[in-house]
Amino acid sequence: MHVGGVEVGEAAEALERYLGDPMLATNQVSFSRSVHLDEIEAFPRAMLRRLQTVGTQSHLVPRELGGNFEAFDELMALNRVISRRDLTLAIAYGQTYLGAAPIWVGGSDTLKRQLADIILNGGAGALALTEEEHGSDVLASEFFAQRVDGGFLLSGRKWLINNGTEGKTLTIFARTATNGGPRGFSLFLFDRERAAPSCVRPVPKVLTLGIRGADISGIELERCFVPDAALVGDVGLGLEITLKALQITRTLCAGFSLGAADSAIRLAARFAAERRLYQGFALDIPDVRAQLSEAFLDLLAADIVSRAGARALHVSTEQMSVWSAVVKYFVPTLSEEITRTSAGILGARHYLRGGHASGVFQKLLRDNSLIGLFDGSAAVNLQAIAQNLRTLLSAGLAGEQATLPDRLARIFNPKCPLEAFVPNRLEVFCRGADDAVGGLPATLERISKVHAHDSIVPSLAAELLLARDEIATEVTELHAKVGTAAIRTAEMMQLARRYCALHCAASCLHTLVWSALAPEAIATMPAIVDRLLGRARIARRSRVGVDRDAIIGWLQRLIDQHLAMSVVPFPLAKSGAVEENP
Amino acid sequence: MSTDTSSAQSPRDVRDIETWLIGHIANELKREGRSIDPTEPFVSLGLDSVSAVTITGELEQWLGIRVSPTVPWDYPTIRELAIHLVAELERAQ
Repeated sequence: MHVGGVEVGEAAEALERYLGDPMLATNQVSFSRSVHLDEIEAFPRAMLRRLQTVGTQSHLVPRELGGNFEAFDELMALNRVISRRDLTLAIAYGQTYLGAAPIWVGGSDTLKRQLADIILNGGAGALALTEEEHGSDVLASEFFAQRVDGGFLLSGRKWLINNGTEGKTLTIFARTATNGGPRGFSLFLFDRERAAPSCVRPVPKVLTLGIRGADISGIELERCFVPDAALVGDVGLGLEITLKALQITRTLCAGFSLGAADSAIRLAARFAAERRLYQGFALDIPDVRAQLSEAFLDLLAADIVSRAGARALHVSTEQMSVWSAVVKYFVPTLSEEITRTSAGILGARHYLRGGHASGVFQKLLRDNSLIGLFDGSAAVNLQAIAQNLRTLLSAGLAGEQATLPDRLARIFNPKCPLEAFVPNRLEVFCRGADDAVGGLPATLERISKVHAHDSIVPSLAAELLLARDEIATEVTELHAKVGTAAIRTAEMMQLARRYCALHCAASCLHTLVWSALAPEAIATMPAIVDRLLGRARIARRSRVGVDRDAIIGWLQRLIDQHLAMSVVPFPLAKSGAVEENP
Repeated sequence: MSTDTSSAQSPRDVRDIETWLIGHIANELKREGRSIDPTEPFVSLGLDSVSAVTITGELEQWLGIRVSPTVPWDYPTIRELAIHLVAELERAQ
């Protein structure tokens, strides 16, 4: 894809060269250093400096503000490149974007320029949203901003804040109306260095299962003055801006899961190919091949739905409350399954804190289990989908039909140019439009022309429509039975899980139909969709004959040729590659 | 697709829109229209955010003007919302 002449994948490919092979201990961002920092629970400060040195911070800042950000699929690819090495580092990097997104979405031009300068100079950021007593229930937040002459006095405590102490800036969610409500909260960009030190108390880092070096801490302020200029947007817009910004960051979180899953499969596949067992290789054992190929197919599914989500931010911006929830629920869920499967293939090796790949796998496994928890947990996102299922599956409220084929082409063809992202187009709530599922009839029509000679693709497409109708019928029945209470039932949550698989399967089909993929990706797509249909429908028998040898063959070629595990693979650092400088 | 007869006609005033809203909300909450107080906040009526959004979508279709999904945040009762929408309709003409 081209935006302003930059090929997407180019920035990610360059970052791979700047970071080098993570297996090479002398590189600054290597598995062995990551494991060491994790062991001593140290913040990856030198690694973040390395990212700053090679210009990665600039991709967090929009081009019009002096940065290099242009498109979300590119930023997601960068996130993936960092995440495949070290999730502690990737999350510390990503937090700065989490803190910045509300300002990019709703801040004044002055505030945007102020934050852009800080980030471009290497300043880390954070989003200070949650409180110890209230967790995801942000409307119960007690942190208060009191209006005074020329500004506000901030008081209260924020807890479990990533970069809470390391962040030079914190984007703070504060109550501005005593009785709260959706218009009772506002956001402030808090600059630590501009605050009176006597008003600021640090909140100690908590001890965690994974990303042990991360700065998950907090901040406590007492009548700390911030000027009017620190207010993001206007008083009362805090919830709206936060919910919109989270639609961006929840989508981008997929990069963490994709990077972790890529490394997990790569480590497991390499091990299985080299490990001699019972007069053969581990990879010759049929069940190992089956598990590895299934994990790989799921990673490709995750890769497709994540890229589509990132591109949809530019194209179907109004629908992102749905797309971001699907991606944030489904991709970390798949990634956790993939890393568990990879752990099984590695056997005892996965449990070691040293030796094989410097013992990085156990770190990756622990770190990866965090992704489904933060920035809106799996349950929160699934609930958001469950609440909207009835409108999502009712005809008539879908996205604009005349331009639908054009939108599908732009979302699902990675080479199609993207228009600039327009934050004003984000909507807090969806009105039932989801181009992935809503676009199935349009894609089916195209399939009947393009894949007329094929029997499996048209039949899978027809089955996706059937799956959609099944879910719709069950949603209607559940609603008729229990009324609006249906959205809180376990049955509706299960239907939401099936909808996510359907959205992902539809994304795969659209990608097959609307883009020009490599022959291996085209050949593998029916098997990817077939697996997703198994999640979207109940008691379904697989109908695709899976050529495991071909799938494992492709996987091994991606590994041997140092390519990302993606339907649009980009080059990774080669074995033994020493980090380069820009 | 309302059973309320007023939805077939074009809205004239605050009262029309209130009647329409009460009809829809009563239907959504499976309550008698008469039991719904137009000055009570949507939240206290028991209307969740998704139902509120669904109603804004249907309002948009009925009125033929853009109705933001967050409009119930800014005008949190049936009456306030109806007054706001009449003003919007006048502006659109």
